[in-house]
Amino acid sequence: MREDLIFSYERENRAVVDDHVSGQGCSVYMDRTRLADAAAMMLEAGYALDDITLLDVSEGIQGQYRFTHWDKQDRVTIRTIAPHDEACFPSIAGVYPGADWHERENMDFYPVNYEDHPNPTPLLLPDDMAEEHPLEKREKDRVSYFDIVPGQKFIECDSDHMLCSCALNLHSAKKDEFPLRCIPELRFKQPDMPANMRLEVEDGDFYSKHFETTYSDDRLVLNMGPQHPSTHGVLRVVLELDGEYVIRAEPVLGYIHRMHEKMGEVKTFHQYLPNMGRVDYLHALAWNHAYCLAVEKLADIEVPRRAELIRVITNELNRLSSHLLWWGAYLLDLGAFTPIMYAFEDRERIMDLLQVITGSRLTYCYFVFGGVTCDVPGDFAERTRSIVHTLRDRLPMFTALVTENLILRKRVEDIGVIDPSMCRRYGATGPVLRGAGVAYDVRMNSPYSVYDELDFEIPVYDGHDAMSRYMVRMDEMAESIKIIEQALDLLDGADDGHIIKKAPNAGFTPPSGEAYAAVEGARGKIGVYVASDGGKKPYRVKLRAPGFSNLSLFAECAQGTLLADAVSILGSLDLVIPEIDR
Amino acid sequence: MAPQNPLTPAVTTVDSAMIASAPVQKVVDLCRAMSLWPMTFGLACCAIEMMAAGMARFDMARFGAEVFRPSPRQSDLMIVAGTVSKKMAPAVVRLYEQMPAPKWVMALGNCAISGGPFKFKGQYGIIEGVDQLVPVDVYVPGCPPRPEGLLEGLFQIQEKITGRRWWPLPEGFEPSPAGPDSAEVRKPASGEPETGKEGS
Ligand code: SF4
Repeated sequence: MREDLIFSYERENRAVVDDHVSGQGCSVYMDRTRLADAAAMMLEAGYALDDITLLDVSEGIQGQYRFTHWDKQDRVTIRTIAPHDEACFPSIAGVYPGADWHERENMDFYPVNYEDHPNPTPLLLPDDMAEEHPLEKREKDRVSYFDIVPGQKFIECDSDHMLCSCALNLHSAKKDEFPLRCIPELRFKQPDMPANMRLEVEDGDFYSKHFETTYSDDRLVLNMGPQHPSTHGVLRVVLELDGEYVIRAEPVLGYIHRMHEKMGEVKTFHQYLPNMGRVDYLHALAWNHAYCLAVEKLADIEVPRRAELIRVITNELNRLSSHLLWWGAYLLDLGAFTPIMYAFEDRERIMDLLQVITGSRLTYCYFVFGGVTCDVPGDFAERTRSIVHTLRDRLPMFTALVTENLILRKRVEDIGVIDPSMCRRYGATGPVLRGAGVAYDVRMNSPYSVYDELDFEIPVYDGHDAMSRYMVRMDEMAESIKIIEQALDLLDGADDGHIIKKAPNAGFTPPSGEAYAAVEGARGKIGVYVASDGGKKPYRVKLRAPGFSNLSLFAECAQGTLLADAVSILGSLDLVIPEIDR
Repeated sequence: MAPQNPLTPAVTTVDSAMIASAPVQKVVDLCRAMSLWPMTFGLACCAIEMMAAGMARFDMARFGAEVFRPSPRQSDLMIVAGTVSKKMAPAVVRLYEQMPAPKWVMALGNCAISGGPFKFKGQYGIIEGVDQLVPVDVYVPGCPPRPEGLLEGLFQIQEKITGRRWWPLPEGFEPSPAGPDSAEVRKPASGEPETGKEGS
């Protein structure tokens, strides 16, 4: 009965307009055969792909495709469903190349198949786990989608929305015109690669699993990583070189996959908080914030103003320390050793300050549902002011020492061209997008917390190259200082406590529902999707990591560059590998 | 060649020394202890604290261990700083095997010690402790350990190599109950080739 219902919803193209609850402007149900058309339409209308989430419910596997528009402040979710016995979706990687990785990740975690996927190999899991799907729910653990979103919440879609009217047209135009090929064995088979492009894999050779040889014998296949200093962790990039030129660069992920999404389902809402300090340990508080925001939306918790201000201040301090580390490490990649010493000097000051209030130096777990764990000490404002003043005085020195240095400029100017269209297709956000000349920042475009009361600017550079991305981050540090100072001024007047009264305790169970919260992290848009069936543990947690999308454009961006420039591009993306692998 | 099974431990046998005499060994040990070359082997969060330890404030160079080498062939101390996933495990074993002996391993952080926060029932992705793969000399707990912790771990390795502690204890700390004498016991009898690492 219920199964019929969801399929009928899908057919009748109802939608949830649930911005307040789920952070989506609009969500449209669609038959899966129409996905590719819908994606093409979205691209044409200028939407960027955020992520592709799967949700395993008793009706089937629900696919959620989230899109954002940079100017229109519109977040759209296209939902579709595939029954368990033919779990198969059409791939939209042909339209949005960024979907490639999202779909591969989903194939790792769920027993689904994406038809016509260009490269259906495991992404995050080791090859010998190809048959295991860690996020697949057992039959008895599955709940109906209507237990998560109660039926009465479905309301008629505002049919003025572009997507809805188009979707309606799509619905009437095509009915079972293109039946899907739902053959699970299609996974891991790559039929369309010419035979002479495949390398004979010797059994037991541990690095040669995804290699292909080229037509010409003098091309060199080079492994960068997983242990390589300029990949900032354990990223592995398979490079195919012709002399010094990169013919093909393929990042191989999963070397630090830490099961965060699985842990979301086995831990309670509270127990999951420490994980948020470890997804992206350089900007841990942004993840804290995103997860808390999502759960607060779910449980309808209002956060006191003082807590919001403390959140903003600590978040920006954390952003400063993250950018400082990026700055030092990037220059280290490019061969300059001294700057990182300066960067760490300032970073240590910030960490000392954050340590006082959060209790740790790096993997903060400071935000809780309804506020922050403890109030700031009396001298906090004074100390923070003096630290940011020192940093502000030092920024011109950084510019004089490094930014104006000719050697640096030669290494970053006109290197790694990433234009807005590429960002849109791959879903790149953060400084990468702003370095492509698009003024999109979640803090500004869909303000959360108290950002809308503060006066700051979004640095945008139009060069599309590594230098623009560099300059965006340098300017962002100055803006963060501005934000911190304003928020400190406001903090004196806000004395409604650092956490709500009757804050949720460890046994906290939010009502059933789903929520999506996005915040601006140091690397881009961080999104957390939480679905709850009213139990003690989240039913599903999806983490949208900005680095994941930013890295996915590396292959296209690095093609044809010199090897040394590929390193420069990689550094300019500011990667944190555990965040990408999650 | 590193074996396919991620849980196959590394080969740890070492050839005997060319000049096997106690006084020579003592001098060599001291030199080794005071100029350890760690490998730049950042896996996750703990690696950031490892970087911090190398920077001006904590200044690992004071203790002779600042030459972070990106290549295992040039280093003799492997600081496993972070979570070892099953996919990474063969690479860890291979890196260890590529390091020239004598070599030491420090497990930095709870992840490298036991899986840390990522150990839960039904976990599918990580190795619960790097000592399942390579022999570990010193465990430094913390999530992440502070840079001071890393330095203390380094002192312990130096103590393990030379048989005595070289740096003063922080104020208010008791010397470890074992004391320097028992460090002698841990050390192989003179004349044996290897100090820090016995074939296991
Ligand atoms: S021990 Fe903690 S800080 Fe270190 S790698 Fe593991 S989670 Fe990160």
